[in-house]
Amino acid sequence: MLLEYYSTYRNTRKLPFVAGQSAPQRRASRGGWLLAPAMAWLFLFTIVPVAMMLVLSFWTSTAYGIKAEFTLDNYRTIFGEPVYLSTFARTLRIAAVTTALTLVVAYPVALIVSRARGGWKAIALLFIFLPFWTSYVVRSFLWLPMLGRNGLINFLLIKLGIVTRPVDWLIYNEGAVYVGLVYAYMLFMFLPIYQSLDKQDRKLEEAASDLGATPARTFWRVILPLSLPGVFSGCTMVFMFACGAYVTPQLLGGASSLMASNVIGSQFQISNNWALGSALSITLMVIVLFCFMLGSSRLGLLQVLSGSRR
Amino acid sequence: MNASSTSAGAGVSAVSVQHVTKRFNETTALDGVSLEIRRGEFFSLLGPSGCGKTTLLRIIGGFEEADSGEVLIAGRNVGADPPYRRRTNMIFQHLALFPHLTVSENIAFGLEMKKVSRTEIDRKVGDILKLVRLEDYGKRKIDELSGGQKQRVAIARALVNEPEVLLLDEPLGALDLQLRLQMHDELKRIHRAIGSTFILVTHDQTEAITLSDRIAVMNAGQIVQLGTPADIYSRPINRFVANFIGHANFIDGEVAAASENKGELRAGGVIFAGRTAGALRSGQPATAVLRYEHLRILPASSSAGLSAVVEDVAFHGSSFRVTVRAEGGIRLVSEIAGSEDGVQVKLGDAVRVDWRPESLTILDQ
Ligand SMILES: Nc1ncnc2c1ncn2[C@@H]1O[C@H](COP(=O)(O)OP(=O)(O)O)[C@@H](O)[C@H]1O
Ligand SMILES: [Mg+2]
Repeated sequence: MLLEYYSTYRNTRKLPFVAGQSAPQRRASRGGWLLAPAMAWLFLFTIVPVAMMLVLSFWTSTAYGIKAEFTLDNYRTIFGEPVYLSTFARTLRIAAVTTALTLVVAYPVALIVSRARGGWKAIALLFIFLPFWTSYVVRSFLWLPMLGRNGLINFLLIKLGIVTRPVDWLIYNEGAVYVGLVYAYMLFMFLPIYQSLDKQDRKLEEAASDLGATPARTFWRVILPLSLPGVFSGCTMVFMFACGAYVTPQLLGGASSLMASNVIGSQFQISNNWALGSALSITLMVIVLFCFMLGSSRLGLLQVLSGSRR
Repeated sequence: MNASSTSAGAGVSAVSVQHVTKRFNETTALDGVSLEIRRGEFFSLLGPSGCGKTTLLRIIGGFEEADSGEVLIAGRNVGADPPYRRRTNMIFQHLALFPHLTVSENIAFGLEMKKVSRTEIDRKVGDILKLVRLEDYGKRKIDELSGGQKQRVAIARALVNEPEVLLLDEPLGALDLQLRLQMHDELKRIHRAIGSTFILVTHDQTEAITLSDRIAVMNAGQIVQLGTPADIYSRPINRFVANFIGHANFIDGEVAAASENKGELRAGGVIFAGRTAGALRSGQPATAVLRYEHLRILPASSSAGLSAVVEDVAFHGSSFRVTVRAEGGIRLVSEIAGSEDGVQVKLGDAVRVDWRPESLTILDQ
């Protein structure tokens, strides 16, 4: 549904990720065999692991590991224990807030960079990409010496005389998780928005101004609506990634801000309960999928309201 | 010339451009241009590509700022006012219609910015759709329209705001000939119906001649000649204008005699009598300009004009171009209307060629 929405929106044609998925669908009607490599890839990297997890989630766990014996106990545990459900709820909340924050941070940057002149644009893009050449894990670790008790921010606060003793609410809470996640996923929000802004016809802004629109009204009536495909694409990716966040909440969050992946990971690594871990993964996947379907039907509604085609 | 020139506020130019200069890095796009455009006038800026037409239009619309000089719209100095504070509307070369809005929404855009009431907007949009003959297309998306329809949406989107001045930047450039001729009629009709001032930028001389009340011919950032189409056509002030508009013979020679506005040019030992443009001295080098269709071909038995031999006859659809070699070895081209039984002259015929002195212009070189 979401993909369908994107492919009908004329401005999405060149967006990464999304357009890349709709193109093979269209081509499928012509030569099916052209799709063979893609199908093999999909099978190997998507279907097989998910199928394996699905099977494992119905196995029985014992003190010595898992046994190939069908049971629904794992799912009973998940829906019986409030701790799991509240973790899922928290995960969705954190992912949603992260998506919103990332959007608020990335959009203005994308707008400014897309409107910059040639040389400045290249420099700005370089600086935006630069941190992403290091590993995601390193980028998350980076916040420890920044937000920590003896970190850079506390150092500055004390030096500037704003506080006398280091504050310790900067880290190991949900706020710190947001800082880490927004930073980690910035690029995935920035890129699709930047692309949709960058390829906009600048003459449209002149036309709006000619018709009496102030710069602010030009933004709301022309620039923003035309960049919505980029916004949707960025939000989709960031929400998806944030639902599966693992390292950031582990490093920066406190015990009360652990996310689904942390709980799932501990089933595999600590409890050695692969069956429950798999069941949790499958449940998370279904929930995220459900969110997307809900979101895309809302987008469909949005489309109708905004008077777009179909 | 037009009903609105007698209405209130007559006397003040719709647009007054005073000594406007504009540079882009090394390029001087406009070099001290001055212009007075009257109310209700259909005015054209005509010139070759890169001569600064668009730049002048963009300065009037507020999209560029002049380096020096002034622009007054309806007598008011618009200085550095942005486009959204000017009572002008522009039809862009590439239309710049909003792809996310329908035809009606595109047209309503300007009215919404002015906070016109919804019922008023609906009425005006309905009226203007009728004017541009797109009544049934209001709900269409822009990419569901043909080129000519998009063109008319762009015109409607600008016109619905009832601008004092409508700026048109080669709005018909992307259309094929058939459609362009059709749009010429529509533009003329709309101009008559609305009565506001139109400023059209074009490099197409036919377009400028058929549509305009007055034309400014531009070259290299300057206005070369300003006048009515008939003026410019029959009395070009220099070789550039003569060359740019229509087709003409250029005869190089020297001035044999010159009075106030009559003169004679001697070329190849032959005298060409005509009118002079500007002050000329006897003996100075000069060029005579004679339009193809102003050179008449007469039978050899005639006594007027010069004797000549037909060197070439070429069919040009509705007319023939006859190339002759006249006395003194001068080659001249005449354009004559084709008749049903074809042209009367053929290759090698001895003929005489003649022109009315007021059709031949002698220019300083
Ligand atoms: N934004 C700009 N930057 C640099 N040069 C420009 C710009 N706009 C116009 N020019 C230059 O100014 C001159 C006049 O351009 P323009 O007004 O577009 O001509 P026309 O519309 O008559 O074809 C050209 O030499 C063009 O290259
Ligand atoms: Mg131009």
